Amino acid sequence: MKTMKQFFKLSIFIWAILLVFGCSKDDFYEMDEPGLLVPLTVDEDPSLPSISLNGTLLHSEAFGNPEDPMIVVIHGGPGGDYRTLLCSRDLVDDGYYVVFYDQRGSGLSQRHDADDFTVQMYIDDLEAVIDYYRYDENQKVILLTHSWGSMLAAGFVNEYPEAIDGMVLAEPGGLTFDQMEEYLSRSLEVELFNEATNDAIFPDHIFAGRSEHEILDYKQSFWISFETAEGNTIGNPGPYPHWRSGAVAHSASHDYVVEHGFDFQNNLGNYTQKVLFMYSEWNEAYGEDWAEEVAAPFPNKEVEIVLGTGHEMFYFGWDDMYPKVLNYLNEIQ
Amino acid sequence: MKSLEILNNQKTINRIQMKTLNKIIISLVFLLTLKAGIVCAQDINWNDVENGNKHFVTLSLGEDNSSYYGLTYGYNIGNTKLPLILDAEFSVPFGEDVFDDWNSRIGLQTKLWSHNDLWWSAKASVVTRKFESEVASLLNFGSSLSTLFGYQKSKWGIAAEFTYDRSEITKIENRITKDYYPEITDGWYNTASGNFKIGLQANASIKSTNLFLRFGKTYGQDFENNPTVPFYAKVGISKSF
Repeated sequence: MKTMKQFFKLSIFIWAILLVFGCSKDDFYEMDEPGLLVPLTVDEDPSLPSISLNGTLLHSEAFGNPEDPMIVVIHGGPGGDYRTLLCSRDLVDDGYYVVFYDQRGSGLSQRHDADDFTVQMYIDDLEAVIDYYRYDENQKVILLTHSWGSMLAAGFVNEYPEAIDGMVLAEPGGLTFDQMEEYLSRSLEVELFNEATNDAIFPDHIFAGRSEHEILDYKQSFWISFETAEGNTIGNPGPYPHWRSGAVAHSASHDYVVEHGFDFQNNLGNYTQKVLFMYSEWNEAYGEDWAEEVAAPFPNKEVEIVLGTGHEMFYFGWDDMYPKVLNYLNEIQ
Repeated sequence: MKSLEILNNQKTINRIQMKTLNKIIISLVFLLTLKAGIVCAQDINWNDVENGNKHFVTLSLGEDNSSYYGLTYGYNIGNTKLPLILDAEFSVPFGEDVFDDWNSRIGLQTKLWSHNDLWWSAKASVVTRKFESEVASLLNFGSSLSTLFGYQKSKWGIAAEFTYDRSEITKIENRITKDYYPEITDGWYNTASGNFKIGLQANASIKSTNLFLRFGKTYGQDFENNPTVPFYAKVGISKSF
């Protein structure tokens, strides 16, 4: 009798497992179908502007006269895109050839597997972008950069100090691994019992244990509400536009530097061109002291505040940022 | 004559058992085909069940892909020999907007086996989750199965837990993302995927009141894409009567 009861209980349990696993859902959208929840990338949509280099396809555009001094705009992340930096096109009217590109695996650029992401890869891709658009060897090249893009620019100049004729660095987190970690500990401070945190992580219940890039990208997009929540540490006054959060690019790049570290400042003493170093008024995690500390390795720099904005200063603070950037560009001509 | 009475009584007993079993099967079919999903099931001290307590109420708070607090009510629809706890839970993540996000769960759990102070139980549940942020509104249904193997004394107990918590389908209504990507598609999505949870549960008992502590690790089902917060924890106080 007892054995029969136990057998029936176990049978129900096993049957329930089979029922759960036996579900089919032919009438529902599939999350990993390209284009449903995140935009198509350049390899999925040939109508998007792109350039081919270093074994990848990058979403890229350029504006202005190709013979004018070239400004290469480098977005943040890793895994972000250049959509909020498009205001930099204003510099075309000031006599510059302005180049935008989404970094490998980011924005609308072709996706890549996690193993492809290294620091040197980003530096090599930047070199290839410059070579792609450069008119001739005499053309000046200036980097206009934001956040992680500023870190990348510093790493590029650290390796090739003769290659760049000017740089605008807007709130790089840090130029060494330790600096980056220190900044992130302040800027990404998480409060567990807080709406913004729960809004960012609750989707982990729903989009759980899936490795398809489209699903990871869509899940990553829920962190926007954390970055732009009322009272956020980095001073963003609201949401900002984007194309796609490159989840694999972001996580793989972070994992890489955790394992290998980085030092983008050990040769910066050889970069003698003036650098414009910018920080935002409302980013509580940054401030003038941190800006001075991160900018210290540059022998020739100017540190400027961008008023009325937080970390996303290109999108929210361009009115104050643009004349300061233009003034710097005129100085280094 | 006596043999016939014994035979009739045996048939009566069998009919009652089959009716009970049919009720169980029907209940499970109904609940599981609703295709909902769960977080954590009721914390049960099986000694309280054996003592004849029918009602189980738990207040809890914890962290499981969000920090939350909740209330659970369970009722033994079986008996002390063949317990079957039907329970319902409602929990809400912490935050300024109180009911924009919530979990509701209905589950069944039973003790599969026991010997002296050792016990083995199983739980099957369905859950509905509602989520809203400026990014999107989500209505999710899922299911979960878990098993616990424990040791229960009169004043304390400990158990190991293994749970598969599965999302099934989700209605997605995108919000601010539509401003940036107008082609984004709202609708019902197959979100079949899940998390494994492996952990421990401990309880301290004073009469029919139990203090439960549960904690463990959470893994994505592919053991590569794990949740942002890869652990869960729960503190609950339970009263049975």
